[in-house]
Amino acid sequence: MKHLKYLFPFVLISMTNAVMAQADDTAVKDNVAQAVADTIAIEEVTINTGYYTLPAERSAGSFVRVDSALFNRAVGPDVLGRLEGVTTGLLFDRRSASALRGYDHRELRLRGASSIFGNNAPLIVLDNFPYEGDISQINPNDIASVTILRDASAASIWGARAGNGVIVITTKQGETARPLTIQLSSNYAYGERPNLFYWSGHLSSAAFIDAERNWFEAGLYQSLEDDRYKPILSPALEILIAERDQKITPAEAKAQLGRLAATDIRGEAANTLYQRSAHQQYALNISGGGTRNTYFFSAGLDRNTPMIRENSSSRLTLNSRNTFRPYDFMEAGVDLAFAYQQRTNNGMELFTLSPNVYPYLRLSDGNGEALAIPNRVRMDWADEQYTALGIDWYYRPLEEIDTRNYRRHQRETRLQTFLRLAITSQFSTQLTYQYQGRASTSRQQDAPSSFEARWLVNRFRQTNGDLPFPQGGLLFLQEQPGHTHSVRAQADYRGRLNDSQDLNVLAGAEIRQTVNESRQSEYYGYDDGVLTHQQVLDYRTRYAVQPFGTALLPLPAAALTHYTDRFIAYYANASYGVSGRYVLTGSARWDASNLFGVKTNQKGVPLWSAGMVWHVSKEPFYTRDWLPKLSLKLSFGHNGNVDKTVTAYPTARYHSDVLNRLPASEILSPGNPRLRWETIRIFNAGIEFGSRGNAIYGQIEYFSKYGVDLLGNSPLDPTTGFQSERINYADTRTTGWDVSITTRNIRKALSWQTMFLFSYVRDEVLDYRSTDNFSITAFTTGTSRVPPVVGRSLNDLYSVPWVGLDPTNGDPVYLLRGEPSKDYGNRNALTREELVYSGLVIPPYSGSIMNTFTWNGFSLSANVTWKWGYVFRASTIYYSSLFANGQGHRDLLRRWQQPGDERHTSVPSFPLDSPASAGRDIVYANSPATVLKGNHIRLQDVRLSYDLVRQGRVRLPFHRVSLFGYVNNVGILWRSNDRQLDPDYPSAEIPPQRTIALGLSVNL
Amino acid sequence: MNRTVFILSTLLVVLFSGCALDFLDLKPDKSQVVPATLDDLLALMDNSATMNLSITPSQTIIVADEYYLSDDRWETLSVPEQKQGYIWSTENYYEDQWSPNWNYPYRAIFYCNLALEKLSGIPRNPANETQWLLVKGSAHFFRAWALFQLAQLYCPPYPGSGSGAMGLPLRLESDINEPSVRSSVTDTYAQIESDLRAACSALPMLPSIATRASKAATYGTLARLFLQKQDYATCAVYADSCLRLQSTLIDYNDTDIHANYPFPRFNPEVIFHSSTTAVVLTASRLQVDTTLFDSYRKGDLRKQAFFRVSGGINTFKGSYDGGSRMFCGIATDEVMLMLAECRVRNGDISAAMEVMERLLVTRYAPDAVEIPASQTETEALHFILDERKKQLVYRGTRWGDLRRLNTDVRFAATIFRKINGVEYALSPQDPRYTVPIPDDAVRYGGIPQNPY
Repeated sequence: MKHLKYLFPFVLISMTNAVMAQADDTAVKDNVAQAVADTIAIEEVTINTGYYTLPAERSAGSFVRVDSALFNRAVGPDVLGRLEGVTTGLLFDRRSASALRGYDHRELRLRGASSIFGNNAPLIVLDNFPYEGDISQINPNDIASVTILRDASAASIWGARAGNGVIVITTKQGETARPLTIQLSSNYAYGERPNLFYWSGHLSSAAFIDAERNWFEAGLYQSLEDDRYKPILSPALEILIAERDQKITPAEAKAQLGRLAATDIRGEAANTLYQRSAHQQYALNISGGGTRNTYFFSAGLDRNTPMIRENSSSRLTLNSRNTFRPYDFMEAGVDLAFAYQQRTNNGMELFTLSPNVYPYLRLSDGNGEALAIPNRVRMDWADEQYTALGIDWYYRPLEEIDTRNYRRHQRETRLQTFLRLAITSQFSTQLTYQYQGRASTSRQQDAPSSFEARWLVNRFRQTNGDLPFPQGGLLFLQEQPGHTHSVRAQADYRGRLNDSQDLNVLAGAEIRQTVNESRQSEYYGYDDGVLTHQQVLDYRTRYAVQPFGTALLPLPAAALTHYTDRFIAYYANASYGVSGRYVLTGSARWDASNLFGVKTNQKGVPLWSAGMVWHVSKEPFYTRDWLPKLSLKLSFGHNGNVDKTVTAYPTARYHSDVLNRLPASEILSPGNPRLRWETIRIFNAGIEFGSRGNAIYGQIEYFSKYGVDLLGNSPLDPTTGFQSERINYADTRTTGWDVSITTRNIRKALSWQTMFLFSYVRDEVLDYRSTDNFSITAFTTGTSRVPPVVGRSLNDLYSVPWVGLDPTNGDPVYLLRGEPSKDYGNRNALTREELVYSGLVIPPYSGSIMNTFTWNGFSLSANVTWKWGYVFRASTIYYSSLFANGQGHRDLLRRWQQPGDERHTSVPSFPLDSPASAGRDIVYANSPATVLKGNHIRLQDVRLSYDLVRQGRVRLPFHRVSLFGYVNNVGILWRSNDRQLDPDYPSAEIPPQRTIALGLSVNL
Repeated sequence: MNRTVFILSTLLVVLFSGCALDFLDLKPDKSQVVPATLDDLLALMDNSATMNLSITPSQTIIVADEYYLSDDRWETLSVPEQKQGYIWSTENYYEDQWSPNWNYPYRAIFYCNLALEKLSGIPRNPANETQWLLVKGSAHFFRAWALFQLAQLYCPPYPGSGSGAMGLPLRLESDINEPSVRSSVTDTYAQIESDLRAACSALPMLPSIATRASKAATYGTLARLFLQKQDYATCAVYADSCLRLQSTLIDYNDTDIHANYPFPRFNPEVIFHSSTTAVVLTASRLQVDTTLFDSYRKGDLRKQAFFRVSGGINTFKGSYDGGSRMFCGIATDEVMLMLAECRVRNGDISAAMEVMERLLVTRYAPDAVEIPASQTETEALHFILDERKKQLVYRGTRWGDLRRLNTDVRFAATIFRKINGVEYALSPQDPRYTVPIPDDAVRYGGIPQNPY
């Protein structure tokens, strides 16, 4: 059956009897005969490019297909995350994952990065059209398969946005002539409580107090104490001040400090702010089909209780896909999908609790009474205000959670309909239309008792008691509606020229418009009970504010944006097969969009690709019995990449001027008349093989990508009025290998299969046409792309040339112009050539080994992933941050303390004077001393499942039952760094939690 | 069949390409434009952040002698330019950091150049004439304003600088690919003058709002220009022309001088609004120079109106910005002080004293105004310059006054800073009266640094 499919253009639906009748000619018979003769199962795979479906053996391109079984091995609400560790060439870059950006923050890279400043994320295609929404709106239970297109043939199909590869997601649908199938599934996943003790930014309370005491005794906090703005001081400093001012006795101070030293906020935070996460998933699928129609219906409900208390989310998805064939030559279909998601974000995180999180803070007194911690104003001053005037300036995090009502709702509706006419047996046309509607509403409501609301009222409280800022709550609303219309018209010709030659051609045009809007509004003095708020406020008068100074009332947020993206594309694709042994393919596309500020001829870009497949094993001369399948394929293509922010003409944006209230405009880009599109040339070569009985099968691919005229920010003569400019400034080459091999080790009642995946990728800058001058931190941070250097990788990490610590006082010493230097202020005089190379921050080698054992319906699989050949920069102590915002680090405990320590530590000594100067910290933190090797082996997940099928003597009330248990993020088996850090999460405060899931699925 | 294919594909192509051109012409972002219309150009000129605020460097106040910093406040300064500027060092002045003092005035110049270029493509007709002239005059005015401000920092003082002294790069085109070349000081001042003259003929007498350019503002700026050139006769003419258009004064006797900020923004004295700010100039850091503070005698309303004494620190509150930013625009009081000074220098002391009296009755309590009866030219100048220093405190004019008065032995002075027990002195004619050009402008623009 599956082989028949590709002979026909009717790819979105399954075959029907009538179509089969049409196909009933000799060619088909030959093909069926060949398919039957060919017992190797692997090539039954079809690839869905979103425009057409073709059998893998006809594709000259590079692709990975993740079928339903492999895709559903993993558990959880995340679609893209399930591709990790089961595909070659796809890397999840999690260097920026953190409390601030989200622990699940990641950037996808397919076969390296092809653009320097443009978007490097692959294009996501859902059911034939680029997906514009939030991928979290898609229920993984609805997904039938995922195909990853990695080379030029992908981009010439999908156009300019596909230069980074394409992830094609196909959802489930019914099949013709199938009885009704009902599948019910449910799973429950538990996550461990987050491990706050992993956080390296924590410094023990005793050591923290010691540091503060040292600086206090040196008089360094005096200016903060005297500051009329009453900036916050830590609880320990308040005690030290009280002791000095003889408000408390030394004994009392000692006792109080002793209590602080014995307090560790992590223990309390773990219980009050965090919890074990839990995720419930329920899914129902109903599908089937008659002779002239197919149907599919699904419903999914997800409920998520994340690790942060008082946060939650839930998602409802509904799907229906129907196709009809009223006449033999006509087919039509309607898909409807609806998703609704609700999130509550009232919870708080330890790391962002307040600007200064001291290790000895207490959030409650142990009797359920919430305690205040310093935030924005000094505690001592807040106490005075409370005692003298009864004004509450306190910030009590645990009460704060109850004063919040932060919610976000997201809705998405997709409607897709198509009409296909088979004009002849070989020629058909199809018109497809898709509408996607998106709406998201955020609502942040702070009760009158919230810190934020009280702060604004208190801050503007006048000495005569006037309250220019109204009492009451705060409400912030943001709506983000959006929609996309897409229309595609396509004609397909698929036919046999004669017995040995066939030709498939398709051509079409596509037009698309995406509109995204946003509207923000804010209300002061809001009363949620009766929906009133204060509108008439005096925003022009400068009021005296507490504790000091004057200010205008903050204007309530009010912003409107409206973006429209439009695309037009023409495309054609052809493949010509000879004798089932050779296939030649070619594709071309012209893409244009409503780019702004460019010349008309720069709005579009032509793209093309060409490829060939040679099935060596089908040649008459091929006789190697042990390797019955051997194919070679080659492809080459030319793609373009677009950066919407660059323009040839000067562009400006209008706003309402704050000073004169007149319409004003600001230059966004000075315009560069010499601008060109980035182009990417991709070459791919691959071998596919299968041994006798498929004991070993797999594929090996080599690729090279040339990025030409890549855009980047080049420093500009500031006298022009602009400091940098985006120009076509670099050429790069990325090369690599992707290998995937499956061995079937035992094929008895007990079967054992192993899947090996291996990827290698390296990039090099070939040419760089800009001024090679950047500040050193651009090269040394390890989380951002380094400026291009000819002959080097864009993923290089450099370090400040490091001598070590000064044996006399533990100061960091670096090499400046070849001389040991402690002139930290002059560190920017270092040139790029003086920096030392520390390694690559993106692993060039990565892979996985997945073993699967099956026996009598039991299946056990475990996936071990590994990454090799890279480094990461570990966080460390910044004494300046410790001084300024109480940000500690456990590295302080390893610091230089006495002569001789420099032999076993590189952490600089405690700076008793001028800790505010960051230069000393920066020199050390960007030295080779903080670079660690990233190499590691991880047991990603383990899955055990049991399938019971009604057949023979097994009597069941239903057709099939599956039970499974699944453990994700099991742990790191081996890592080269000895500090127990997770190299994939260098910025994360806490490591990914291990989750354990149990599930059940029933087929009626 | 082939015919069907052909017809269908032709239909497709025609259907799509017919609408393609218009379809792709829609702006992706509704608020975005390629500036082309008169409204667009006027909107560029009305961008106050660029044309009124960042256009005036704060460095002219930072390097002048009207304030001082405590050692620890100086230590904690994170901007090298402010830290080094305070002690007039020329070493590591920028530490490779970009400088708003240089970049933003040149950003404004880009806006002006763009506006003038686009304007040349818009025909002037009776219907658009008012707006057309406003754009033209504004572009010339703001370009002159930016160049004049830059010249006070990065070029040696005009008189005596010699014809060979390096002036500013004069960028008169918006094309960023054009190289920057340093002109001479003479050419720089000539460009400012010609821009101001062009502005003068195009602008309305008075602005509809003080952020906009006007004839009055142009006359005031021309007076400033000729004062710097020490061409006192011409300066007097322009100061007088300016005052004929706008001579309103605020009477400090009728002002709540104890208010947090006694003078509202766009007050009646303001002819052209511009203001600047910097971390070092904020209320918690800046301490008023004690000699200056003590020079306001009893009955001088400015002592209460301008300064706030809090926690033993004298800090400034008298900005015509109505807030914490330092007003650096053109106001009636400054123009009157220029006129008075020029009249003395041109030999008419009694006419000068008339102007002074008109000003000072609004600055002192009624019984405290003292206009010296008969004076020599030097005495009269001392009197006016003292009042000038007291009235125009933190207006950004002090640095220019120091530079120009240093050429005259009667008024030349050495100024001092003291940090961590070290005393730094800046004597008259010191080359450090010209500030170094930012590192990035030298490196990427390939222009020569000022000699030290």
